Amino acid sequence: MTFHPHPHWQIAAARWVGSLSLIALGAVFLAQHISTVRDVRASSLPLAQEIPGLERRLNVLKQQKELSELSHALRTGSPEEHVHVYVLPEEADLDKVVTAFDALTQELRQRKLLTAISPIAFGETTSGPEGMTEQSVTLELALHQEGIEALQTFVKLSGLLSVADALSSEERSRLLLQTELENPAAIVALEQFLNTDLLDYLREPRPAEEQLLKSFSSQSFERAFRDVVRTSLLSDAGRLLHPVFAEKLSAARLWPMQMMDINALSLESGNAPGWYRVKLEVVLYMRSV
Amino acid sequence: MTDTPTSAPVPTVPTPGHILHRMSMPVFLFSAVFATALGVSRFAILPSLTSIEVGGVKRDAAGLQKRAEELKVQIADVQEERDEDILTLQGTPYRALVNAKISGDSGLELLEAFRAAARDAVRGTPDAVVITQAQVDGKTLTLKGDVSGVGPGSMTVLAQFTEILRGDARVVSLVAPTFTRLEDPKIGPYSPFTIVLTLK
Repeated sequence: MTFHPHPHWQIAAARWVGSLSLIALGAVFLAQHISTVRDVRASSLPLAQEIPGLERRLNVLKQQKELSELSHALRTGSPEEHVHVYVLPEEADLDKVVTAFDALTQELRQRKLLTAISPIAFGETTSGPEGMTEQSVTLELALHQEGIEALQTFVKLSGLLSVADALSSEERSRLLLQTELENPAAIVALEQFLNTDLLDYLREPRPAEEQLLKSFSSQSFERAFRDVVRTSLLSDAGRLLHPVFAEKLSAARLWPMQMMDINALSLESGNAPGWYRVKLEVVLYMRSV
Repeated sequence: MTDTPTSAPVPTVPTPGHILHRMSMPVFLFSAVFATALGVSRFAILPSLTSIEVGGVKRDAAGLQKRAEELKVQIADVQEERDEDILTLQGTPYRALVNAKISGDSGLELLEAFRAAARDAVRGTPDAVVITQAQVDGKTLTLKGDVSGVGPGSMTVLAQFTEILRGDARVVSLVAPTFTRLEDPKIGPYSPFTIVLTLK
């Protein structure tokens, strides 16, 4: 075998450079194969399983939206009017606020949960959040622990108009999701339930609940519904606003109450177990003119 | 006739340079075929093999991801519109006040939670940490009380209780109490405390 003593080194070098470049390019393509296959395993297959569910949910939501729009159009009565007149008036109706607290303290005394109450003091009107004004109300009470719970529930219920207002967004979402899963058309019944007047519901919960539960054939919605009612403010409200007390508030035209919230609460252990000296500062909210 | 030297190539020993030169063409051809085959597979075969048909449309991984994100956005929009129809007065100051009231923990619930933490602070001595006064003012909760019945270790127990409170999910920050040990003829050594908690 013979070898040329002066091979074309430049051509050979160019071939080697070209070969290495092509091998590198091939390696890049190979890496892309690997990452594509890995993507398919890691994301495409789960996404392919998830997308039909998302499409179904979108269709269900669209149907529910159409139904709720129709129901919304047929709804009578304006909650805005109640908010303007009772819940967020331009000026606080101090007489009504005092009467409401008086009714509550009478109720707590009857239940032997309150032994003493100080005079109720109103503060100056100041500017509040969301372009509103607010006024503080302070009072001191000697209360049993259950009485403090009742007092907090009473303040929480102030200004609430419908059943939906007494549920947190998570609780409402749970009911809506259950409706989507079990009977999307029952959105109308759920909407009617959520917009039931809160005091009417607390006085007699059964008709509104039965009307809603009629729309579901399975037990799982009822279980979720009972669970939401049991853990929500509705349960505390039901214990406080029993039919007699609810009727008393209604007869005295104390409902709907003006919007209030607890600004400061001081609890000091009393002389007997479970009893406290309570200093309470409540804020009354008003619409600014 | 005499023999004359011919001009034929002189046989030489192959050097590594010669070997590389002779190998350059086959290696180049192999590399070209290798890269071309993988390129064709990457751009022409792989997409069709890895695409998945969902709802009558074939999509690759990126397409599926994009479709899922689109659907989630649409679902969120339609859900919001539906909820607006169901829940009246959305976006008004009234709704903001109601949501703030309903979602917040009540003062009594907080006090009960921290009392439970106080009872569990010392195993076997539930009355070691006693909260005698609590004051909720907006996002600030002030707890007053004392640690007693644990002998000279009252300051250590108070430090443990402070750390338990600091680790609570509802607490953003905490002003630690002043650690002191006092003597009482009836209850023995005790450490009074005032702890100020900033809540979420």
